[in-house]
Amino acid sequence: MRERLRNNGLSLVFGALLLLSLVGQAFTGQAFYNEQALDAGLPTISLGEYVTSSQFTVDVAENWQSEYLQFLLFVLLTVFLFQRGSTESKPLHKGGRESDKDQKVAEYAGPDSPMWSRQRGWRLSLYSHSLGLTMGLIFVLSWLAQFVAGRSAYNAEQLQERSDPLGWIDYALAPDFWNRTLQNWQSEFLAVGSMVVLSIYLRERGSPESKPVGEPHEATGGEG
Amino acid sequence: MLPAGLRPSRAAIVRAVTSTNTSRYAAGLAAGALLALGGCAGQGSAENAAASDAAERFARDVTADTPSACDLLAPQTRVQLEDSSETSCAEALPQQDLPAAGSVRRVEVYGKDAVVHLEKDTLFLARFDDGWRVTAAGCTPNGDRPYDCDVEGS
Repeated sequence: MRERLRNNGLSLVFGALLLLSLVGQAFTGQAFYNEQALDAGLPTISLGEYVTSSQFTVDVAENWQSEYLQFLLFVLLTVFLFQRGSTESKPLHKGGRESDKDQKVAEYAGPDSPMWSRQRGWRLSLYSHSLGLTMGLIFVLSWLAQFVAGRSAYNAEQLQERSDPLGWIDYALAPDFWNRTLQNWQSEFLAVGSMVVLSIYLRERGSPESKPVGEPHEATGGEG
Repeated sequence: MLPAGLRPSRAAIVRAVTSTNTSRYAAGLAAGALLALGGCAGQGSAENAAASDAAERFARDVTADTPSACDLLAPQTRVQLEDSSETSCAEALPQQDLPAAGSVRRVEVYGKDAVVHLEKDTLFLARFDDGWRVTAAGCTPNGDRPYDCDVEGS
């Protein structure tokens, strides 16, 4: 049990942090919603109503879609693009999808290789891109959730302000939708860009995100 | 071994999202659940019918049964009406010259908020614990600006 906890600590800790953050967001979001409702003489809502509301859904979805877009772009762009000296980049001589031998597929697969990597065909093709496809699918679903819930939440505010709600096409072009989208995208791109550049010159001893402390700045794709 | 472009730590984080079939599908299912919740929250024919019913009753009772119409006003709207008129709601409401009752043409409900377009009036409503209440009545379009309403809260 202890070994299992140790070997899966990263996912367990991040999973716990995710749950705690979501719970905190639910409570604070409900409090903020009710604060505004009381000011406007409108009905307040319970925690259960809030976490099933479009307001909560859009606030979660807008963050999720940008995270998965970040991962999708990171997974795909690091196949073809380089950053000299960065831990986030492949070594400069390893461009593109790499050889079957390097990727241990088909005849180069080992006894412990994943099943779909061992034989050529549609399964190998699909599995070879499963990470990007999964990230892309979750990004699309999350962004769609943001769009649907965002329109509902925006239109509720419109009605509270005695204005007409927006249809689907009007909301797709609305500043509210794109402001929510772009404010999240910019932070994700900033995060990846920061990591790509800062890892060239800065170190964190013991972290796999960092080059060894004494590694030269020009060394690319190294780890701690 | 992972592709060189995915260092173990970043890959570990990514694997935490998609490593097993269960967690991979869980992330996708959660996104799908968000989609369903966000689109369905507070909507559906039941809420449309309840909001329509409250709007029609209010529009009918404004002239036929003013105390009942006052009971259908949202609390803040009723207080605003009484304060501005310096009289009770039952006396103030008929003085607002709200349009005559008409049938419902269109209803839109988003969460706890609704707008009901009647033949001769537009009402805005909110769903309180004891049901739908009118927050604004006698509302007319005002271009891109909010509706101009004869009876409304703050």
